[in-house]
Amino acid sequence: MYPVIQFFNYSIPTFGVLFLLGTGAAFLLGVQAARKYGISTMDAMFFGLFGIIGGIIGAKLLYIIVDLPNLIASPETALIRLATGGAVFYGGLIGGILGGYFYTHIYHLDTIRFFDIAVPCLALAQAFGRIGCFFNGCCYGIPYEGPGAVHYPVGAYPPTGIGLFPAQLSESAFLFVLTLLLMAVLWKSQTAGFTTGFYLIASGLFRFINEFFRADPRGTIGFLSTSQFISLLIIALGILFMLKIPQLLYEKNLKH
Amino acid sequence: MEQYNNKAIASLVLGIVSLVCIFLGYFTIIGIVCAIVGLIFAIQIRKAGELEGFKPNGMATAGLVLNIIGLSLCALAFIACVACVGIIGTAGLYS
Repeated sequence: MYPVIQFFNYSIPTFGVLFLLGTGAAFLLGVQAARKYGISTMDAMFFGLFGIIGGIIGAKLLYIIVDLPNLIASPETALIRLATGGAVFYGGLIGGILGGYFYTHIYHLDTIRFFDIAVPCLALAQAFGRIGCFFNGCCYGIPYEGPGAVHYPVGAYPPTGIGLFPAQLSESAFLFVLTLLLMAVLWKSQTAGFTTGFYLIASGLFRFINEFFRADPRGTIGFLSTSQFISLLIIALGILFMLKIPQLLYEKNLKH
Repeated sequence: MEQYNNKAIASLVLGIVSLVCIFLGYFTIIGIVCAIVGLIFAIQIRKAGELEGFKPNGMATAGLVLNIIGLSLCALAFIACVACVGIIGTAGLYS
């Protein structure tokens, strides 16, 4: 709808602006959430920054690995392609987790507790990101003519001329509610890692359901979409967190 | 303390370079690399100050702030909904 914002001579991607807003809001929330375990503002902020640094490196690194044959095949454009586009989301996610873990490891902090305070912030940043998707036109929904149907203008990325289900906004609304829920869970829970498990299960379940209302091309594995397959893995990981298995493994093998 | 002073200067310089790189079009990635290295230096100094009990100087604080601003503004061009369609949002950026 509005993929770019014109600012003087510059075209700024709306998704980027909303994602930055989300990240800023997430940092503010993180500082509040950190009070639960008595974590200092500085540690919470640096953990987030290490997560972001790890995320950027991971996303780029996985892109290079995935796209290596093409980069070698056309070396004349490789530098430009490396410098501009190209980032793989799951590389970013894994890199972000590793970045955060690295910070807590070198300064001898409790990783699981840091993950607990990070998940409400992650949900909030995601919620803003989904609004960015809505403006971008990506992740659009199935054809639908009911209350709240979205009609994209001619020339936009999604199909125009028909009503579409606002799949991005439904996910965003859910994530805002989930942020509040996670803060409540974080405050009430007595077990480290419970909030992380709750987030993984809730977001995985919703993503799995929401995928049925999405129509953008995004690949399939069997009769499920790629995201649904990954959601199942995320739900399984969430259940493991609820059963305290990663916490036990961390205490035994990885803690300092 | 000497090594921390050097790192603080390096962090500040890298922060300034990353801010300049925002205007480099295709090569804002240089700004991202500078900001990441500068940020790591700044965080090291802050944590060392906390653990060893000294107050980081103004240069280290300025380095931290500039690197955060530099990283976020340089990354603005690269952040796209990669889970969905790649970089349609950024396609118009360099036009």
